[in-house]
Amino acid sequence: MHIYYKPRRRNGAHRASREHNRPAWRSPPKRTEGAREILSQEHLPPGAPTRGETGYPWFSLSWPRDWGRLGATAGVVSLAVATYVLYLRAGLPAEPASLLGLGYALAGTGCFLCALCGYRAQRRAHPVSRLGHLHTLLEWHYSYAILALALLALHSFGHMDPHLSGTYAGFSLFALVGSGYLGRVLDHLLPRLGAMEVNRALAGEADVLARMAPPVNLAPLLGPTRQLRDPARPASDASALRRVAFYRTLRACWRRCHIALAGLACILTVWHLAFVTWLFWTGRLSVP
Amino acid sequence: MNHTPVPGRTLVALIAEELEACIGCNECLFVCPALEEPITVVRLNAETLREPISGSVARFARSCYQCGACSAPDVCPVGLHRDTMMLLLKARLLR
Repeated sequence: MHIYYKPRRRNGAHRASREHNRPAWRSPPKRTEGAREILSQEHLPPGAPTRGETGYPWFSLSWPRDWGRLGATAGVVSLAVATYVLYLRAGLPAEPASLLGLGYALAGTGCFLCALCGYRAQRRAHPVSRLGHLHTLLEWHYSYAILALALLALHSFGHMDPHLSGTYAGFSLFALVGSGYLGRVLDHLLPRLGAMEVNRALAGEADVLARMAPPVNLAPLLGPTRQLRDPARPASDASALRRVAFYRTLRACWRRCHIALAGLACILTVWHLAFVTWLFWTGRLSVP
Repeated sequence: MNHTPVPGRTLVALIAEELEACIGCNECLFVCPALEEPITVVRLNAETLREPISGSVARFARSCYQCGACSAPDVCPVGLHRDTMMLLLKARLLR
């Protein structure tokens, strides 16, 4: 059986170095190489820990490292809620078009724009300044999303009339943030499920190696997607490959849905802003 | 399409070859949104297959969500598949 594996190539300045570093095709490895090597860990130097870190929990809560971001987010939300409560106790008009409501709208829209453009723009910028910078930006993306949702919810002052354009914009923002947190859950669960599939296949590979039979071939994982449909592939690893590919496809689908929801929220927000501007312009709405 | 036929080989053997081909430019880590602590690709390569997994690499492996940013065509100058290497590292954590 032949699995067609093509190393990824790219035109450009790195071609020479890639050609230099590309491993030459060699004969198939000895049967003693492979999974058994990492399973037994016989290569470890004397005195070294035999296993190192292990464990991959389904759900894990890591201790936050960026307390400044968390503190800033919690501080802004607390300040906004405190202002809201004081405003209501003072008996001032609780309307989205009030001065406080407009302030919430302005701040919330700013946070929404930061969440929308900040991470995406920085991710496309290259080169990135330092290792871990994108992770920090992603965390700020979450914080801006929470801030935007909280501030725009306060801006509504509980007015959820289906005749208001802002209601639809608010619901779309709620769906967008909800899909973001669904994505965070999927980002934790799907790779773990994929790792379980690979772990199972590797265990099977080790068993096969122990019986000195032909090894299970997981090479298609490294190749283009169409290799996953190779009909000549053994059935033992076919299901594992299918599942890993399915998990990757599922995550890609979620990402497309999230981007589509972001586009919908943008359109509805622009519609709401244009409609409200027109109402102010024609005098049908005024600051109470 | 000029594809090179390769006889059936294990995932581990293929990843070992890719690790040897890595030039250590850290580009895959620069574009990674899951990397929180600054670790180098040399250390990551060493712990992907052979050495005991340290705490920071384990945390990185657990937080990797297989987005594929590291394996995009314009990221790795050598055209390696870092996402699959991370999958193997995750499988090692399960042992």
